[in-house]
Amino acid sequence: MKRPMVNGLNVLNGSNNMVTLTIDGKKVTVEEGTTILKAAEKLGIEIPTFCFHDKLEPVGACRMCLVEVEKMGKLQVACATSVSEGMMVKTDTPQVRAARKGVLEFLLINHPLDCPVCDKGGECELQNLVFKYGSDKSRYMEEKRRFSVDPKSKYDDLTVGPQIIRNMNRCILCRKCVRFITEIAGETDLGTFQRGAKTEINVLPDIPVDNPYSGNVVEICPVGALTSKSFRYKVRVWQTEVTSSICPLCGDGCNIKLWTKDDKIYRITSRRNDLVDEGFLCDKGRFGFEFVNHPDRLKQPLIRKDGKLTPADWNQAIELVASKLKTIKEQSGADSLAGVGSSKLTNEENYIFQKFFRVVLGTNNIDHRVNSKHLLPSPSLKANQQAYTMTNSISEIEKAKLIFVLGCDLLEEHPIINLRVMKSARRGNALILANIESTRLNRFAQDELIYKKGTELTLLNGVAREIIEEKLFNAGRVRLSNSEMEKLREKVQPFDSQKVLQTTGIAPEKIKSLAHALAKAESIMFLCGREIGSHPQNTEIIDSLNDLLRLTGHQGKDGCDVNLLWEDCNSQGALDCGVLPDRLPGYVDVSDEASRKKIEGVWNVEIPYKPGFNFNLLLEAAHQGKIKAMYIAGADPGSEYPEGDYVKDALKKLDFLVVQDIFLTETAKLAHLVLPGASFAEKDGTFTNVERRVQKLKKAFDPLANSKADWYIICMLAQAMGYDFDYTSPAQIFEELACVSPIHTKMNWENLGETGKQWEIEKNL
Amino acid sequence: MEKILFKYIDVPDQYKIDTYIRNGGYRALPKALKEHTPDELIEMVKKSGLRGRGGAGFPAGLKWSFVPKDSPKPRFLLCNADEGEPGTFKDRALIENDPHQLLEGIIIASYAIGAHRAFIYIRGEFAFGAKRLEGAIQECYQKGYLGKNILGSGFDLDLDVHRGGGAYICGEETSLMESVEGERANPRLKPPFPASVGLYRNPTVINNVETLSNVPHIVLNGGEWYANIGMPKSTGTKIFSLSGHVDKPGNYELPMGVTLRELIFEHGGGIKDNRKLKAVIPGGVSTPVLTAELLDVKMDFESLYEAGSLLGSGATIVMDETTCMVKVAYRISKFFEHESCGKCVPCREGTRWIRQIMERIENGKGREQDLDLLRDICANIAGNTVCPMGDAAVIPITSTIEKFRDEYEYHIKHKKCMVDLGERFV
Amino acid sequence: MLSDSTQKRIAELKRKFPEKRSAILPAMHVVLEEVGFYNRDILKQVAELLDLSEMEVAEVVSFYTYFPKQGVGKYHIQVCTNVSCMLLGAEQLVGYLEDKLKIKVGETTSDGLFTLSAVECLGSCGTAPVMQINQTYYENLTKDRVNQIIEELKKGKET
Repeated sequence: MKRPMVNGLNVLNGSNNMVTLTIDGKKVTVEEGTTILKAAEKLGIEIPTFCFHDKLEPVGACRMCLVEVEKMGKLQVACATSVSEGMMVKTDTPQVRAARKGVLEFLLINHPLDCPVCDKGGECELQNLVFKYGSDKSRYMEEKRRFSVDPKSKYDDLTVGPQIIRNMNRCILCRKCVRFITEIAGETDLGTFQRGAKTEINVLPDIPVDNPYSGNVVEICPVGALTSKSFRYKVRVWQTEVTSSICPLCGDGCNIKLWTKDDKIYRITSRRNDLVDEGFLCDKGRFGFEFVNHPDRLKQPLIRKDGKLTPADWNQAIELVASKLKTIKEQSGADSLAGVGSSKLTNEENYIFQKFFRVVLGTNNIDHRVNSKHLLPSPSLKANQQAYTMTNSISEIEKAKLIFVLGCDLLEEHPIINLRVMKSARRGNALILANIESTRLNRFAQDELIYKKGTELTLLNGVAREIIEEKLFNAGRVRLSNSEMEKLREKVQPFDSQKVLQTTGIAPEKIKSLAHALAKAESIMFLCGREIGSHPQNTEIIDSLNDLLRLTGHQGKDGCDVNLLWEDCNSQGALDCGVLPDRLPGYVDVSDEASRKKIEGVWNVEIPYKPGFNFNLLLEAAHQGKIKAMYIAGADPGSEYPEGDYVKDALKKLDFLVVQDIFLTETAKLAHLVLPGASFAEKDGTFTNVERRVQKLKKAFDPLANSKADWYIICMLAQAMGYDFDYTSPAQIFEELACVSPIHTKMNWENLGETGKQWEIEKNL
Repeated sequence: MEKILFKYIDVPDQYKIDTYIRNGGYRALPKALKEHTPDELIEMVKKSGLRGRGGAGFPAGLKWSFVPKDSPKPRFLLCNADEGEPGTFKDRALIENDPHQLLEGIIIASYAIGAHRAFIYIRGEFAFGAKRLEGAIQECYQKGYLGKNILGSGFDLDLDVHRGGGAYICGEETSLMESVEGERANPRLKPPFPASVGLYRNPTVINNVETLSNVPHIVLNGGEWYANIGMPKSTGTKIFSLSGHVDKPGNYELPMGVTLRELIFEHGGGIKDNRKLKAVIPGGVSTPVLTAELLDVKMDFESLYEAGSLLGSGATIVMDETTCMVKVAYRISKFFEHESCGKCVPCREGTRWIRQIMERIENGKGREQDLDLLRDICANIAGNTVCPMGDAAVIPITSTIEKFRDEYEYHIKHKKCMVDLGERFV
Repeated sequence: MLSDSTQKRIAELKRKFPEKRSAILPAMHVVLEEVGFYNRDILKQVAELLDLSEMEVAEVVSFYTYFPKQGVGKYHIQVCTNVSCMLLGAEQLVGYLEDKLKIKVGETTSDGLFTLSAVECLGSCGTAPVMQINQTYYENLTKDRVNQIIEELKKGKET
């Protein structure tokens, strides 16, 4: 694997030497190793490029960025030439202008005049640069070079992947597509064949471009040589509106742009956030927006009459819910009511959902964790307590000297974090995977341990035992007291290599080498996924990982920690906003009187101090008839809970079930009343991604048909029950959240900006 | 003048190690290993003034000295035996007939730069040459001139032959390295230079076959001895590959500075069939064409540059009065189009465009504006490409338009060649 | 399919270089020597033997012109047509071969014996005109020489 280099200076070793140079008469000071292109950018001087991409190794192939550098005879490529002290650069001389014009002329001699039928029209780099720097006349009168799929036609229209169509005649051979696939996605779907003017970018026969990041090549292509099937010929870019949003499909929280026209999403592209996605999207997120404009979207409230769900108007629906909840509360007490929020609703929605239950209904019977029977204890932010979150940041991943991924198929669960891990591996950092099955990431890993499902704890104990018994730890670095060490030694004593092999199926050599790797690593990052979050021994596993950190002396260090990666777009947010039976927003313990009083001051009402039922207990209570009414917003336990029938039976026992969602889900089908909510594209709000980053999403168009934004529905319900939830916007709700929640205090709607803000976490020492 | 490189070139069996040793071979190697430090060797080669014989003419000793002394990275020595420049066939003679001379030079050079691994990158077509080299290398291993602890000096060296696959661009040093690494052979950006970031990103020196073949002689006789041969700034001898319309085409080792006239008429036997000399390409098709008035130019780097051309690889192609210069330029443009690697826009698109225009002109479909258009295209390529092949590709066009414009105009006006080669294949 | 000995030779190449990709060209020379051409299956096998992806091998091989694809004749006649050879009648030599073998440049005789190609400089300009047939150079060509060579090849005698 090649290491990135720019003019031989390894730009990964951030140098602190500064260099001052002059570009077009203006002085600028930058770090040693910076390219002329970047230095010019700092001055606001634009140098045109085709083949340059910030995240790819510069190749200097298109020659568009040639600039004059004093004392260097030939023009130099700005994208790959490092600055030097006193360098004098000129970006707008007759020679430079002639060179640019020449390059553009060369590109146009074979480029077809496809603009009227080419998707890229209006956002095409070739169009833009020809307008700026090119000629308006062609001097070419020879036969254009043509690739064609059909022997009878000169038009190339080759489908190279489920989503990608290649038009080789338009290609300017910047090779960003192939370079992306090789350097970032780590695949080999696309390749370069032949040489010279016959060079062709192609797939192997019968092997299409089918990797999970394939859509990026369409976005990265500067011209219309690669187009996507879903967007092709649908709309012209200048007819669309662009809205900033956050991808709703996983916890990575990639920043996206929605391209819409007439209340319909036509495509999604990246809204590059270097702290999260670095400008790349996975295909799931990029092409997974059809659900928003799907014909099956719920269009109006539905009330069950004579066993059938029939359309109703909002007034009827709201009145019915309000009166039912009021009645049941009066008859059976506040604790006979329960609410299920969602890891897919925004922070604002989750916040006022839990506020609704605590303030309007007077109960702590709320949760949102519907996909596991084994719940972690609610997080606490007290020192040395577990926050059960991603304690490091996404941008720290590529710096960790050893990444140990446990119980997580990163490609499946967190595709963009997967890219970061591959990046780290390419830099020469160590990567070890442990999971119940093999994953594609293993090509980059030093080792892959496949263990029997559920046996993580044995595995970890075996590793700890190996480190202790073989004295692999550095006594000076261990962060365990003598008694703690003794306790740990006793705990892991029984887990010798035979026992580990028997239980987990992992061979002793692998345990040994894992132990050695952990012991001698300079820094360690643990990443835990799906298998761990819902594991019967999840707390013990997290504790064991922390023990390993302390054993190897890395606990408390920057960039080292145990990271639990939650799956959904706002799993972290739902936790943060207190959709938990024993936590208020910001992880305030409901039974902590002093903190609770503070919030009561803001909300102007006394709130219940007894912790409520978590979701498992809610189901049990529903079965027993203790819970009589449930309001489920944005969640579908009927499909997501491990025992679907158990859930459905519990829900069927309720006197009143109201479900708020955008489709008629399995859960909604059981409801007495269904309220149509809105998708992420139809409301303002924030999601909090795995690394605790609160990011804004903006509304692209109004809720479709007669649906309403979820936050608005909750407000209507509160109003109908006599409480003044008179918020006019999610921004307003957020401001209140920031008032109430200790972890959101430093945030406000404005300072979230374009790249969001993380809430801070105290390191475990 | 006594020959240096070609002294034993006609001795049958010279390629066998016993014959080579009998004729004075492998005396420089023990001298280098036992009596000199690597730095001393570098100084010796610097003093000799030996310049790269592949075409660029870069001082060899200076190139060797660029390898960082304190880098912990492994060093590599690459011998460039790609010999793709049309008109050049000197390295083939050295490889096939006196391979040990080259090997001795490679081993000494590797010692001088601290390389323990060396490769000879030989063009794929030279199958016979590769065989000869492999045989010679085997003999060296057997006799202890390669492998571990060579001649008890403590110096280890492994040498392999690496065959190319038919790509002229691999003669360019960074493409050569890419090819050895198993990549598509696109050239790299310079800086960084191979001496710091080369093969597998390690310090590397690349030298031509002829350059390295000189090294044993320099070690044996001293740098000063070599510097006294030839010209002050272009020292030593040069093997000129003489081809085309001469009576005696072939390789001629002569001191640098011999005149073109002497090369062609004294050694080459003059123009075949008593015809008249029309044009000479002095150093391979990448060098500007010369006409008869310049016959007294000295064949060395400086003199040819001052005369408006280049020494290049010393491949002298002689053309008589029956040669159509447009046809020659057209044929060369086809060559460069075929060999363009495709990485950068000006060369990839430009060489094809040039060929298309030359084709039209040669086939009687030229237009008035084609000549200025060609010159403009050449101006847009030269200096703007990743590697020197772009500059090379435009030289035949610009120099023939400059020196033989009348022929071009004749083609455009009369839609045919001015002259005809006649029956050459008999 | 590559023979066992060929596979062994190729697999051994992997250990010869600091990076296994370097073994691609040497492996192709082994293939050329032992099979005489390549096809997709052979490339896939080479990739497997060298522990590389098919794409990596295919991309690299497609860059070079020396390795013929399956369909090439038993004797691949490659005539140099660059400047020095052209000056000494290479074009006429090509025409002569086209007439003699009754095929055009780029084609193969119907008995699969000869393929005719026009190639770039072979590095033998002093003995022009020159052609390379498989791995052997034939220099100082005349009509008589060419006739002789073709006849002997037809008889299966390689000189």
